[in-house]
Amino acid sequence: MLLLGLDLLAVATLVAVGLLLYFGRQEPADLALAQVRARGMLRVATDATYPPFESYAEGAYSGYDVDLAKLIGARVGVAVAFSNIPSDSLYQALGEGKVDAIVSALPFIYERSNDLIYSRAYFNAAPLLVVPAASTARSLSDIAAGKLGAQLGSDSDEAARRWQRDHPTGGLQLTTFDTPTAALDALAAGQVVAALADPVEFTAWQVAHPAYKAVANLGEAGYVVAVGKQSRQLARLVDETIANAQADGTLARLAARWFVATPSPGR
Amino acid sequence: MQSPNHDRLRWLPGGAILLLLLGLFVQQAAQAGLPAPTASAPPPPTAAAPKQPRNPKVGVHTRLTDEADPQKISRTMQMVRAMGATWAVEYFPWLYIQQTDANHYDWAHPDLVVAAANAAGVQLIARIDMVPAWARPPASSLSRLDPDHYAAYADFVATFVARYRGRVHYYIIWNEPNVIWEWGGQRVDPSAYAALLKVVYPRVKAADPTATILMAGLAPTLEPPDSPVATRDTSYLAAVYQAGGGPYFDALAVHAYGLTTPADDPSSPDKLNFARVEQMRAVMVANGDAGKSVFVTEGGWNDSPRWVNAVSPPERIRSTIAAYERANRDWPWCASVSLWAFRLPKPAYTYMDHYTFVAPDFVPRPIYFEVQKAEASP
Repeated sequence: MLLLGLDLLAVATLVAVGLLLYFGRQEPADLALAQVRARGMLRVATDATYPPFESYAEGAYSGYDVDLAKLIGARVGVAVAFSNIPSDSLYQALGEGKVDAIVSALPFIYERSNDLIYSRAYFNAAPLLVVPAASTARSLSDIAAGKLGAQLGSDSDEAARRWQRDHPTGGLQLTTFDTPTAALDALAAGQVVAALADPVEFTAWQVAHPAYKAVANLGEAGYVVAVGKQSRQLARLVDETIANAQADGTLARLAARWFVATPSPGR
Repeated sequence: MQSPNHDRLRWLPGGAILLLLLGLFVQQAAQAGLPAPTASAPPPPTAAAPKQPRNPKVGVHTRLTDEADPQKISRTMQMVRAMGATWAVEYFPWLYIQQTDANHYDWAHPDLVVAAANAAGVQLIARIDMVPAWARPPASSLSRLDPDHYAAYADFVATFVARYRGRVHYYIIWNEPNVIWEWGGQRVDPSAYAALLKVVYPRVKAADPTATILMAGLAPTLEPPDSPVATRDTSYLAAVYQAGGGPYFDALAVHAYGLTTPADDPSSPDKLNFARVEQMRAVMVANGDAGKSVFVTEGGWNDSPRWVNAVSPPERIRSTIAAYERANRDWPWCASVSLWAFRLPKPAYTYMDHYTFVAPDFVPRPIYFEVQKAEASP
C-alpha cells in the first residue's frame, strides 16, 4: 500500500508537472489586442504625406496603406482611427502606446526589430526590371550586354551601378534620364532594351503600355506594419491579413487602384 | 593619450605584422575594384586623383564622429579626395576628447581623422564644440557654455590647435549659435558669442599664428526679431560685429542649403537658398570685412521622396555640381564649399540618408560618380 501510495503520488506529481509545463507554454494573453477590442478601435499611425500610400485631404485619409489598415481592422473586428504623425515620430508614438500600429510605407529596420514586432512585407519598393512582354529576360544578367535605362540618381540608378560593380565584365551600359517615366518611354521607343523603375511608377505607366512587363525586383525593400513588442496576437492577425490579401489578389487590386489613379508626383 | 592601436601594433610578432600587411594589401586591392569599371561608369573612387583639382573649392562635410574603425576613417578620406574634393569639414566634440576633467585628453580618434585627411591630401576644417559635463551646469544641455567656462573652452581649442599645428589650419568656433538648441537652451546672445570669440582668438593665435579662425556657421533662418528660438542669420552676424566681435575671427563659416531651389537661384534677404552666402557676405562687407574669406561649411540638396524640402535626384545632382561651379566662378571671396554629408556611419532611415554621397557600406551613390565626372572633365 505504501508503494502504491508512492506510485500514485509520483504519477500525480508527473501529471501536475506535465500540466504546468503544458499550460505554462501557452502564450500569455495579448493585453494589447484585448485593449483594442475593448476599445473597439485600432489606432493606426501614418505620415499622410506620401501618396499614393497615404495622404490626408478634406478630413479623410486615403491611399494603399489606409485601405490595408482598414483590412487589418476588419480582421481584428474593430474600426480604424488614423493619426497623422511625422515619419520621424512614428516609432515614438508606438513606443509610448499612443497608437497600436504603424502603417506608413514603413521600411524594415533591423536595429529596431528587438523593440517591436514587424509584419511580413506587404510591398516591395525595390526597383523593378522592366522589359518587353515577349522578352525572356529574367534578371539583369540576361540583358547585360544591352542598354539599361534608369532615372539619374534614383534608387534604380544606384541599383544598376551596384550591379555593374558586382559584375565588372557584364558589359551593362547604363543610360540615365530625368524621370522614371522617361526611362520607361525610352524602353518603349527602343532606345534601351530594359529599364529599371520604381514599382509605383511602373504600375501607372503599364496601363498605357501593356506590351511591357516587370520581371523582378532588384533587391528587397519591403514595406511592413509595426506593432508593439507585447502585441504578439495582433501581429499574427496583421500577418494573416497581409497573407490573405496577397493570396486573393486584394493587394494587387489596391496597387491598381492607388498607383494608377494617383501616382506620386515626387518620385 | 596615445592611441591604443599604436601600443598593440608595437607588440605584434613579426609573422602577425606580415599577415597584417598582407591583409592591408588585399583590402587595398579590393578597394581598387570597388566601383563599376564599365564603359558607362566613371573612374573608380580610389583611382589616383588629379594632383591639381580642377575646382579647388570642392569639399564635403564628413561625418566621422561616431566612426571608430581606423580603416573606415582612412577610406572615407581617400574617397573624398578621389571624388575630386580637397576640403573636408569634420566635427571634433570637446566632450569626447576632454571627457573627465581639464587635465585629461583622449586624442586617439582625432589623431586618426587628422592623419587620414593629411594622408589623402584633404584640407581639414575642424569644428569644435559640445561641452563636457565638468564644464557646464549639472543636467544642462551639451551646448551650454557659460562665461565662467569660456577660458576652459579656449584652453581646449588652443591645445587642439597646438597639437595639430601644421596639419590642421582651419577651426570653426561653435556651431549655429543663433538657435536656442545650439546655445545651451538659452536665448541666443550675439554679444555673448562675440565675448567667446574674444577669449578664444588670442589663445589660438598664440598656439599657431598661422591658424585661421572661422566664426561659427549660423543656421539659415528668417526668424522674426521677436522669435524666442532663433535669430535671423544676417541679423545675428551684424550683432556680432556690433558687439565688437569682428576682429576676433579671420573668416566666416556659412551654412548654405539649397532646399527646393536650384544652385543659381538669386540671393534675396528674405529667401533661404544656396546664395544665402551672398547675404552673409554683404554683412561682412558692410562691416569692413571685405578682405575676409567665406567658407561654406554645410549645405547642399536632399533627394528624399518623403521630405517636403527635397528635390528630385537629378535636380540634386545638377544643383550640387552647379553650386561648386558657381562658387569657383562667381565668388572669389569664397574659399571652399563643403556640402553635407559625405557618408553616415550607419543609415539614419530618415530623409538625412538622402543628403549623402556614399552609402554606409562605402558604395558610392550616383551623385558621387557625377561629381567625380564633373571634376575630372577639363
